[in-house]
Amino acid sequence: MIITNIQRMSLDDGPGIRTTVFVKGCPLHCLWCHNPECVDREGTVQFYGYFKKVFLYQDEAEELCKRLQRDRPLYEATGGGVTISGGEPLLYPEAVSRIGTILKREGISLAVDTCGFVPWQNFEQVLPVTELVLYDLKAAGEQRHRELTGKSNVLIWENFHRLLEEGTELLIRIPVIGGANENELMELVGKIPARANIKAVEFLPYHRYGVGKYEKLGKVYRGAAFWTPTKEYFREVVGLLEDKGIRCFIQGEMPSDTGADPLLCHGRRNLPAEDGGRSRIP
Amino acid sequence: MEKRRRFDDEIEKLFGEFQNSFSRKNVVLYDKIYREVWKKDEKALEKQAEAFDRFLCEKEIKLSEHDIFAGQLQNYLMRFSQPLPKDGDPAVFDPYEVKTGPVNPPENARETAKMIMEHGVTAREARLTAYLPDGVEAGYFTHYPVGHAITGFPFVVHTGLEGIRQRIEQSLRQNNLTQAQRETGWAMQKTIESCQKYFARYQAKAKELIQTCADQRARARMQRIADAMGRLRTEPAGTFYEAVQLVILLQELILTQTKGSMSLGRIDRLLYPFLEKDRAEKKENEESAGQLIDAFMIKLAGCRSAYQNITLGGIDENGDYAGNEISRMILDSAGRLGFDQPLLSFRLNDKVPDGHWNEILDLLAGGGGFPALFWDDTIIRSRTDMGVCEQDAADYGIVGCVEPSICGKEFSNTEAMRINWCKTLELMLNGGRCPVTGKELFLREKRNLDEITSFDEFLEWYREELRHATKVGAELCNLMDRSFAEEYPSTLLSVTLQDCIDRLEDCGAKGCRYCNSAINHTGIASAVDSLAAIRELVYEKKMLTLTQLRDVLNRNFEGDGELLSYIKENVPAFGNDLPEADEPAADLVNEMAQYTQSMRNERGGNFMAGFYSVYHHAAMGRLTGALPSGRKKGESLSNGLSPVQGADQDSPAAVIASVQKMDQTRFANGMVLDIKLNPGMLKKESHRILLRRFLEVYFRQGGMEIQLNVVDRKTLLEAKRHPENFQNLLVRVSGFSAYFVNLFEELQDEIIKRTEYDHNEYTEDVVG
Repeated sequence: MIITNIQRMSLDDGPGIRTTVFVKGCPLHCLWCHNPECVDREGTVQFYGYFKKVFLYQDEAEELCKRLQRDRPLYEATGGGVTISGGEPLLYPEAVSRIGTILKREGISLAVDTCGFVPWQNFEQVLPVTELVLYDLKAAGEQRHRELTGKSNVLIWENFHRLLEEGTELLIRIPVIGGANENELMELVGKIPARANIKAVEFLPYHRYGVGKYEKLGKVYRGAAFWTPTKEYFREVVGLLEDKGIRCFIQGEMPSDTGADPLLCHGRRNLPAEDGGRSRIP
Repeated sequence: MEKRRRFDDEIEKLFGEFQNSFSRKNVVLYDKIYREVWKKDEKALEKQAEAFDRFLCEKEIKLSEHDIFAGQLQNYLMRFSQPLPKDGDPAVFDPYEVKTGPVNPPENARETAKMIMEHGVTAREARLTAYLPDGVEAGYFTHYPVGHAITGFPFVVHTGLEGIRQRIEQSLRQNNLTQAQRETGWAMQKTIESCQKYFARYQAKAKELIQTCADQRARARMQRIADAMGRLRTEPAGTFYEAVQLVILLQELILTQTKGSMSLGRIDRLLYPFLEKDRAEKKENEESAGQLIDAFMIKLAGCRSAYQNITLGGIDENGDYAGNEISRMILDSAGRLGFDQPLLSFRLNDKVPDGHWNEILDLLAGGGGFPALFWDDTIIRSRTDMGVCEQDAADYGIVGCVEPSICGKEFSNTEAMRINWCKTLELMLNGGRCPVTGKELFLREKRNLDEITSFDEFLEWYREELRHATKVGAELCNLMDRSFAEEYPSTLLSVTLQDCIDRLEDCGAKGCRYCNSAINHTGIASAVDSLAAIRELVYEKKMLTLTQLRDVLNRNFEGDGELLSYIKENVPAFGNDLPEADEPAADLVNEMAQYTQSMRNERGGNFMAGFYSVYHHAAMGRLTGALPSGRKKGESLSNGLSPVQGADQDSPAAVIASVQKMDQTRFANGMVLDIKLNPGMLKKESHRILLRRFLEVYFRQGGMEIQLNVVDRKTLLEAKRHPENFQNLLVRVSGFSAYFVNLFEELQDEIIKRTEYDHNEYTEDVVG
């Protein structure tokens, strides 16, 4: 298992302040992917600069966990912990399980961010040491799912239902890609039952922050035609989830036609007026 | 949530008319009086008192019918407590063009050196004294020898001018006073009397304006001012309005006499009891008090770039939370007004309620860097460790940028000396000669570079030289102290500080209870990263000799692109939680802090170590050549204790982990750690809560100070290109906030270059 990055101070990879571990290898090939360096299992990944070195994870669970423990005070203060993401961490159930066992022993929470396209046994191996599963759902219909990710969604929905049954704590993540799945959202969300173990649904608006990486990797970015739907779009979708009693929120930035925001919590102050240079306040 | 109206219409009017409060006539008059009076063959005390009196009697009183308070704070070309500047034409002086830096005028240093020499020195001391202007000119030192104190506002507000005048009189009746004490007492009396006459002038002006007022409300405002100024000419403040009015006038008068970060201390603590009482008697309510605070803040803003620091929050003498309604109002007011003055500091501890935290985060999220955040435990400890009693230590406020000071009892000349750690390195490599200016400076020991066979040996030499520079700096401070109060007294300031009236001594002498001195250290991360590079390149990989490295630096890395790349990829940088970079940094910092604070000054106090840089990291950087860290000649040095701009590429968690390896309880003169956040990071309530927890962890693990710059690079670049559209953009520099468009270019660039943290790290630099 190759680790491409250990990112401290992650605020959006689960609750609290977390450290996110990114691994290489993913069974899906989503058209909008912003971590293309994490798709292939093989191939070395080099970062410029001294401080980012690649870890070829062998049997170094203890060493890795020692690093992950550096932010224990931050985890404890915020209900945070470690999230393994990527790529698809459940391609490496033994490694994840070993890491999770140590973290559990040390009293640090582990979350796993998965697309669900792995055999159920892989889940079984890691669930005993995993506190939270971030489960990605990308499209409602089978055909659309194949178009957008390259794979069927049958296994993904099967695993999803098993997780619901197991009572595993779930944070459902739905990327919202204009031109790809935005007209499927109601259907997708309709397939999510009201269950106590669903902590929340998180919408991830389309963005292009990872596009620059494709060229450097010699890959082609296939999401050029996509766009970010506006917040107003979400009213219905949010309404549906709220009726089921499921919390939902939007990660990151979303454009807005009216300025109204159904989900984001603003600070309580109106920020000072942007009058640029018109009134020259000395 | 109800949308709060931004300002009421009276404040709106004052805000819009803000520029009218400046008086050029007064600038010209000040200059004229100063030059006339200083020619006289009298003692400085006399001259200052006379000039002060004349100015207050002759100056134009700026009071408009829209005013809610009397008071007119502004910049002048110089002050009566400073050496006379050589240039600057009052006729064209424009305070709105006052740039922040880059000059730390060598004039200050030359004047101080002259003063020291004139008072008589030994041969050795004469040699030492020359180091001061030389050091400043070469970017080794900075020297700003005046001001930097918290005026004793509570004393004045609770005693009143007449009460103070009588105290002085009483003190003058003591037996066995020396001539100097009598003279000081006389000057103090005269100064207070000048203040009292000035109050009467305001009262008269207000009464005059009543006749010509357009409407009833204006008449009421003028009447209120006339009444207050009438009372306050002799009495202590009795109401909330009077307390605020007296604070404004005192600050105006202090700024008229003494320049240099004259700070206000714990204003929320001072004003709140007055507000409580008035509320109980139904004289004020939240809305009226909020308006008065807005008006107060507008008055302070009249003096741009003046580093007027207000300290909020903290604890009281019982250890309970001392923040109150006024703390919240001031934060709120700052957010709506958006001025660069006053500087806001918040004393944090475990008792700060959520409401105040939210107010703090709201203000930070809007950008501008207010408030700077300080942790009570660390700062109080830094003082009790120096022998200050618990009660006094707990009553600290922040001066200027980030220097803690015991309110109303301390004068420690916190900017008298700053040392550039990178210049030390440069001198070592160049036989004691500054390669940028050609000046011969002072090494403890010149050595043959190629005879140094190990990095440990080099590091040992560096440590000796740093200690040497620190010692020189301390000796210069002491030399200055011998005559400073005599040549450049600050009489009004002294009147307000304990125990100056009792001792009849100026605060610059031994008048105060706490008479410390300070040495500030700058360029830390740049120096430390450079040492790491030397270790790697010269001693471990043996890629080039020390002499060859020196030559590379002196040609500014011209033709050495590969070497630069090698350094960037292979030398660990401070600020990434890498033990190999951080531990040497912590060792050096801890050692120099301890060494600094082991020295006593000649006023019965201690030297205190500071690790903040104002804007001098960029100003000194202009005069520093290329460094082994990869920094090019003329670029800014690192600021405060922050990592080299852009060299921290892990996370804020890593940055605080790096800084936490240092013992911050030894930074009695304060420190700065700057973190830059993309505004997107603070839009969500959930992120703000996480940020708060992060800050709390930093502080609880020994942090002393942190300041947050919430701004994005795009905006800064745009503001550089089109400053006319960004006149009001406020950013955090290093210990203070300022209008970005008024900063000199190297300073703008270093702020732009600082690593900007966002909640989503999208690593762009991937190859694979």
